[in-house]
Amino acid sequence: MEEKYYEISSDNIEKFVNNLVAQNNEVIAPKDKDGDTFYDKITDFKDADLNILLPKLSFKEYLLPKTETLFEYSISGSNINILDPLENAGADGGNSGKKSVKRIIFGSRPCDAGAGPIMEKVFNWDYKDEFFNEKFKNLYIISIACVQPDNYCFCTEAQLSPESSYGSDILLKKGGSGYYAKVITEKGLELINSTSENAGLFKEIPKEAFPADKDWKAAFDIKKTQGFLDKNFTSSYFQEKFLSCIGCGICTYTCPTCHCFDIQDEGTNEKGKRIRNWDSCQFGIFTLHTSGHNPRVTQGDRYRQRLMHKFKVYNEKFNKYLCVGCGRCSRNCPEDIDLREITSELSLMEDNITQ
Amino acid sequence: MENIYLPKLAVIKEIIQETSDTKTVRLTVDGASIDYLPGQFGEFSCIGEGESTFGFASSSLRKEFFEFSFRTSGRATAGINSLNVGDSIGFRGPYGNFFDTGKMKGKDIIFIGGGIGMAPVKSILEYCLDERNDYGKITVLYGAKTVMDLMYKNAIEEWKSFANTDVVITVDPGGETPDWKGRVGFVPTILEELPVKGNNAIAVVCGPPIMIKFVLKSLEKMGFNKEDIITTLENRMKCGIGKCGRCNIGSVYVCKEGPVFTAKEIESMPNDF
Repeated sequence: MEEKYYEISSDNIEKFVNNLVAQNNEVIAPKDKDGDTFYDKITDFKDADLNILLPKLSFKEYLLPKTETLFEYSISGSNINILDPLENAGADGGNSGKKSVKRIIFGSRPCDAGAGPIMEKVFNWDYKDEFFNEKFKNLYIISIACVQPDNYCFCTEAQLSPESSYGSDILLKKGGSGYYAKVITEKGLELINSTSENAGLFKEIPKEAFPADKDWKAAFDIKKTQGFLDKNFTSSYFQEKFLSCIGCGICTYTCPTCHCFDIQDEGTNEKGKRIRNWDSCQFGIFTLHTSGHNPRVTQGDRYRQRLMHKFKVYNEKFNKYLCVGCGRCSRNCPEDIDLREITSELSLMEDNITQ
Repeated sequence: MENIYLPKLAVIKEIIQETSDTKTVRLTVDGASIDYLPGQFGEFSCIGEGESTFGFASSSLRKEFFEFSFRTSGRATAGINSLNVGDSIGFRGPYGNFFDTGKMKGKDIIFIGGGIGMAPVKSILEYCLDERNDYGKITVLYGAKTVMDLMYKNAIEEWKSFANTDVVITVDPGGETPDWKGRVGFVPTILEELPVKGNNAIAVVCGPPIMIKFVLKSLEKMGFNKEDIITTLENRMKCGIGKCGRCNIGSVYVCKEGPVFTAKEIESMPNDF
């Protein structure tokens, strides 16, 4: 779709969001909870906390829940009955029985918005994962551009930017009487035109009137990070750098793009369900064979896998990086292992090798 | 809307107790086998206990059933172990690539299996035996830790009955019994003593990673090209279809691009398996 541009006042954006709530959509926004901010359901625009840099967690859970039912079963004698939740699928991938709830993230960060289409490639690589697809299809994303990244942020290096619209349906930028809006997708247009009242809140402007992006400059070249990873699987860097890693897995849980999962059965021998749960490549058991053999023995082996997956393996398959540069893995790491620092160091090491 | 994690229910037709802790299960879906090829794998589950990954152990040319072998070692396999003939097993698949039988036709083949790694070897071996005239000399080398750990005792007798087919069974030193009539020695050692040469020949290998490592060295000594050594990698998997993210070796997803690889392909992979 050809992008469209609008201006909307602060009062009107409030009206717009409250209208979306009133139209029985599930509206989710950054919201204060015990001193931290999380993406959470709001019932009024005033619940949204739009002044923080980044919510503590991304909204990954709305696409890939921590725990998700793949099917339910009941057993009597040698009779097994299997119930497929996708038969009643909706925005929550079938796990509430409600059909097609529109779920709107208001005030998404550009990095978080970028994670959706990045994960979408994995879930549609050959076999189509409709649990993900149903949720993704019904998720509408209104992002607000960042003004000033912090020291853990590296979205620009990760090929996005604080003002990137990749993965957003609408991108807002502060300015004018409130916000300027860029509508990127049909889904974005659908929200604006959902009622004539909503459409009236937005004033269309020419493309030139929409504020241009700042000239964000990458501090290092992520392609060189990939270049190092391509050739240095056995580098001692991985074993030394991650000696302090305690393997807690928080980097993977807080990551908007980490999507690895485990499958388990839960229930009695009469009824229960098969579920998938978030898993983490940082755990030794992740790759442990039945025989006791483990391909990834040390924490260095495991963090190397995380780097390889994000900056090499995924890129070779899908020509993008499995990282949006949000920096949550680093901010939340109890050992202050900093992914921006690591990717930067690797790119410099590649430079030194090729010189 | 297709649910890619939804298993079919396969009915247990027969259970063979192979050793004290291993079994082979013969299954049917709608009264017959399913379409698959040797080398491929499936996700087999005891509904309510869990799902696990196993390669097919039967020849896909035999249409009355398909089979897999397992060792009871965790919750999912303990669940499968508790099932009886007539019960149902959850099945997803077949997944992954398969042995290139076109490339094997007209050639001598040595099949090498260690422990429960013999299961996928049995699948392609019996496939070749089912069309015995398409292949040259067939040699089977199967090793287990001890005599008690030898699986497929009935199948071994069947293999021996084919013309131009040598079957060599070995157990690790110390694993023999007083009345053991087979060989004693590790698989790579026995392999190098066999009258097998690498010209116009294919080697199929599966077993524990450490056995594969040494067998590859022995085969190269015996004159096999790396392109003519075929193995299957059995990495830990959950989904089997390229989503869950744990079976990769470098950029290769074993579940999608494997599990069958040549030694040449393995050589180009990082040491992450």
